[in-house]
Amino acid sequence: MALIKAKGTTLNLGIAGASAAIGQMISIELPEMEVETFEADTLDNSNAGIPYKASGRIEGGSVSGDLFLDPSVSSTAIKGFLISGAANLSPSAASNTATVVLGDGTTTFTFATAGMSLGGTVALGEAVKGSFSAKLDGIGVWS
Amino acid sequence: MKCKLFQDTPAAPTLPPNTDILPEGSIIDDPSAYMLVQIGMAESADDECTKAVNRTPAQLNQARYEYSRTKKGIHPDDFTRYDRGEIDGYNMDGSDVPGPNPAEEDEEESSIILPENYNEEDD
Repeated sequence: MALIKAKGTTLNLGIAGASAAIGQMISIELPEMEVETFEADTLDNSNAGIPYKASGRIEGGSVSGDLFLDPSVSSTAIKGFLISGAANLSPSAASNTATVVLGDGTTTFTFATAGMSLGGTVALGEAVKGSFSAKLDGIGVWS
Repeated sequence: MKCKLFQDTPAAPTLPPNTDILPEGSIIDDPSAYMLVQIGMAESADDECTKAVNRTPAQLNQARYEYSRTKKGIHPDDFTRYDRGEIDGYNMDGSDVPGPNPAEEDEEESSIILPENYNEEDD
């Protein structure tokens, strides 16, 4: 069994042609990719169970995460990614592609995003936190 | 608008994934180049970029320091230890890479609690 440690994992966004790591990340949720299915029942089906079939498409899901928000630095990268991603409709463009480099430094999950959101939470007793979500365009690639 | 990278930097992610590296000192000419400076990855390479960055030298130094920490994947829980120089990253097994100023290990404390009036010579 091989275990990959989470410590040391970075989220990297493409900005100005370079890969920019996002600072102060606390956690990252990888996408729950799912095969799209449809109900394939018929009136003459004698079984009680409802049959489903795969449509041949895959829902890419979304990548999300939390970070300690620092408007001067950490969110600058996300903001830049939001702007460049929103302006670019080409799914293969580097400007809207991101990669998660896991703690072993070699395993990566790379994905293109169709859009991204960034919010924040201010609560007594806690540091100001930000949360982001990126909707995948297609499916991500493990390498 | 131009900026100059401080260190070797992976090129922007692509699909399929690439392993291209932009060498230290590379000049990036892009409308978003000022963001790389604000993040601490690069320095301005022309007046247009310097103006767009809009940061003091102290802020830029701080951003550069923080990006070096970010690039190593240091978790916020470990920022204090990193800042003290106790760790410089994480090994493949999750243990710490010692920093330039590693913490002294605490002496193992005995679990035996002696009475206040205990005297070794009495034994």
